[in-house]
Amino acid sequence: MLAQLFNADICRKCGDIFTNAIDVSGLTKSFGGFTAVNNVNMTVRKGEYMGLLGPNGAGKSTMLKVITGMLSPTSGSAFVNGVDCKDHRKAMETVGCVIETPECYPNFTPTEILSYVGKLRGITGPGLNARIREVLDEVRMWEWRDRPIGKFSKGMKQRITLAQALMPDPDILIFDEPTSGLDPRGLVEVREILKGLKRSDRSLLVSTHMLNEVSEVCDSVTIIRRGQVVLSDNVKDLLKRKAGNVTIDVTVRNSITQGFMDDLKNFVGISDAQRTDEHSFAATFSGNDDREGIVELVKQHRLGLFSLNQKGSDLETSYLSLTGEEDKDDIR
Amino acid sequence: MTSDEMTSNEAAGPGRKYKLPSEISQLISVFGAQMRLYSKSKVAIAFIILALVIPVLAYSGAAETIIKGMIKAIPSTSYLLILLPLFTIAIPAMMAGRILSSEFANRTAYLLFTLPVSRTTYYLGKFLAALTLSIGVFAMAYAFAVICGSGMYGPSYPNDVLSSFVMCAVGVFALTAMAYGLSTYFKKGSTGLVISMMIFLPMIILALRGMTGDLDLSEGTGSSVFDPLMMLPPFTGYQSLYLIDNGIGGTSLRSLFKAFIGPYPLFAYLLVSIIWGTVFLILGMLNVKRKEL
Repeated sequence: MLAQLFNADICRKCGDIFTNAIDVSGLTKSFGGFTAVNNVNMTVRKGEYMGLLGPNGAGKSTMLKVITGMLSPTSGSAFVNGVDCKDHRKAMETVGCVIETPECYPNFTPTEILSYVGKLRGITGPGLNARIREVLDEVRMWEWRDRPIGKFSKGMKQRITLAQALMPDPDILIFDEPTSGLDPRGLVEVREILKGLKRSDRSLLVSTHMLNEVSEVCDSVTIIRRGQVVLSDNVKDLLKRKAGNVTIDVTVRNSITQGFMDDLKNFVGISDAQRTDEHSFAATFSGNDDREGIVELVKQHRLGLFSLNQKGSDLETSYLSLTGEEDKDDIR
Repeated sequence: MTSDEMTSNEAAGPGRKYKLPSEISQLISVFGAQMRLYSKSKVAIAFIILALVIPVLAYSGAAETIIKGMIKAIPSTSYLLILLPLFTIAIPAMMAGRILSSEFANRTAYLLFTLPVSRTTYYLGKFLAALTLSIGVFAMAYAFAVICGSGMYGPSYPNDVLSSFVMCAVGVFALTAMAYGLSTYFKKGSTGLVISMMIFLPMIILALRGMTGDLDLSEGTGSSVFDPLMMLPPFTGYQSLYLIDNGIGGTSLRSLFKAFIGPYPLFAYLLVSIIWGTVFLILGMLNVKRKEL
């Protein structure tokens, strides 16, 4: 009762009441007749790294904007660290955000913008310079500290916006597509920074439509489609649960015989088997992912195994089935 | 960790929590950052230089020749500030008319609005910077004009200079607030709108009064009938020029601007400008507070 009252959970082991990092309850946001976020419930626990996954226009950014006070909810509520987001100043005190690729003043240097953000967050005196040095080191921008931001590449600008989010050494990080629009190098750099931010007392909510970003960085995933949550699960559990639906593409050196295809279709755990050309076939597991058995069958028929690849990631399979075929183009 | 448990922010280091400063401290930070942005803006620097050369521009001969053609006046400090009616409109509009619209257009607002700063603090901090710079420009122009005028035309009366400057500063407040408040409603800012409105409004009023025969500027005889609309901020430049020559005997330039001063105490003019500016400031603030990004 008390826990519900304060948007908190009770620890099963010790019985202590603790607040969640982010609590979204019945959140709806409409723009005129269009409902971008529809009655969403979501919780990010302290120390949890959650990926908010969904195709473009699914409502991810809208949800993050409501949580960070850039938009007001039509109905429902969002709490950060137990503080209602309507109290923006208090709610954002321990939160670092990067929402919708913001820009820094092009005439400012990284030191100037971080000094500005630091002062607004209450970091003063020698502590301010020390903190600026720390975050610029963290995003690998220290050597560029006195150059105007306007002359930076998109990836460098993105690292500066990440640095400003890190200034207060926040407990909660909220990033909206932090790698969006970056070239492959910038993308890898920013992703490495994200991985480096992980620590036990810090929570992260990151929206993305890049599946590998979620599997690399996050512990849990919430998939959102057309403004509604369609799945919320631990990434590991999700992968385990979906293992039975894995499809593999196999290429062999010799021509595939009808006898092999008949044996394959009768193989335990195979729900579907198709010959794709003279030397290739695809097989989908409905039960256990018994790849070793398939390799053995290929050996028995003396086909000569050339390659065996999993078709897409398990997360991708889940994503596609949950968000629908029409969203395939949004996946990278 | 509660606020009480937080350590001194100066002593705070990595892994420590920082106590959020007061809204006043945050307002000062926003103000300071905006002033720093101005210091890097070529337009703002150009205006400061322009302020210093306003008296020079006026004294260069053109203005003096025109004025002497219109009225037989004793030369005074007001000669050097003759461009005041134009600049009291243009400078505030250019300083404040694009601050907020460019923050949204350039997406810097997307960074600042996620920080633990109330939108009111952010809005007022930037406005105070625009106002300070605008008034600063005119303070420099006044100082330069008074110094030059004292050398050329004899000493100015401090009380007259002060009342003239106060009138000018309040007018600048009204027009800065107007430009700033309106800029929140337009994607490309309000500079053009404010300049055209505030230049055309006096012209329309003067033309209408001239057509009805109520206005006679030719000799500054004081026969004109005062129009209450002349209490509005776009006329504060003319009124400032009238006030600065208050202590000068004979026919000075102030006679030309007598038509802009009605039978009301100075306080009434100031009050109109303050109300005007405050209304626009509040309108802009309400828009920023409910703005959805």
